[in-house]
Amino acid sequence: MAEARPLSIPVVLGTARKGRMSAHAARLVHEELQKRDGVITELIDVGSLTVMLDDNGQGTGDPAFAASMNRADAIILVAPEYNHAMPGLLKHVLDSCLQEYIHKAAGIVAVSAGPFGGTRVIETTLPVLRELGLATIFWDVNFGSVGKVFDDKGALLDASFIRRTDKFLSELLWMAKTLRYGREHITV
Amino acid sequence: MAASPMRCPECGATMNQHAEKIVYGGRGLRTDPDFGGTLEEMHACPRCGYVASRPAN
Repeated sequence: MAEARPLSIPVVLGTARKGRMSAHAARLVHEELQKRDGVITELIDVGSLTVMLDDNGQGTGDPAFAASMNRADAIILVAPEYNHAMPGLLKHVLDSCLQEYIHKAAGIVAVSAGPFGGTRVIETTLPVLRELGLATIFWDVNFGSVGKVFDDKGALLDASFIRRTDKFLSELLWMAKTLRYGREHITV
Repeated sequence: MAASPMRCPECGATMNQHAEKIVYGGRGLRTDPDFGGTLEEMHACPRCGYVASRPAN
């Protein structure tokens, strides 16, 4: 069912690392999300944001990022696993907002060069998202051994990720619709 | 529930208060002695979706 006002669901590519394979995962998820009715989306590259290195916290980030988070009904984080956690730049960017996140849905797409599918970055990201006021879903997409999932040019080599992404998006959209209704109509 | 509804700064509609949250380390904001941080009201606009916050009374 299409909403009267489209759901806004940005995809955040959470690394600026050179040669990042996460960019392929983010592009795939973004493309699949664009196929959904009643959804508007954008791909946000944390490497393209204005970041203050001499300050931190709410209200110190890129105004365009804050505006995107304000419009958002849900966010998708595409996070590679660096030493069992999200990249420091992604945490820094996430910490620049707060009110923009409250009672909105969040899904995690984890990317790892190793065989564990980024499960550890998911586990260490969940408490951060909770404290930011986001409501996490129970579906993830795990791009483990990502070098075997995409070729060097980003072409998908494993078609199972289309179906995995589809299930993930279905749950995220349900949560986004439900939380939007709650934010706008149910008073605390 | 907020004593006075918040007006959406974007479209002027009456916003809905959907949450309260403690914000720690707020700059220049009053610390609530019971919570050790600033109690913030979170509001959402049912017309345009804009979200905003303000310190709770």
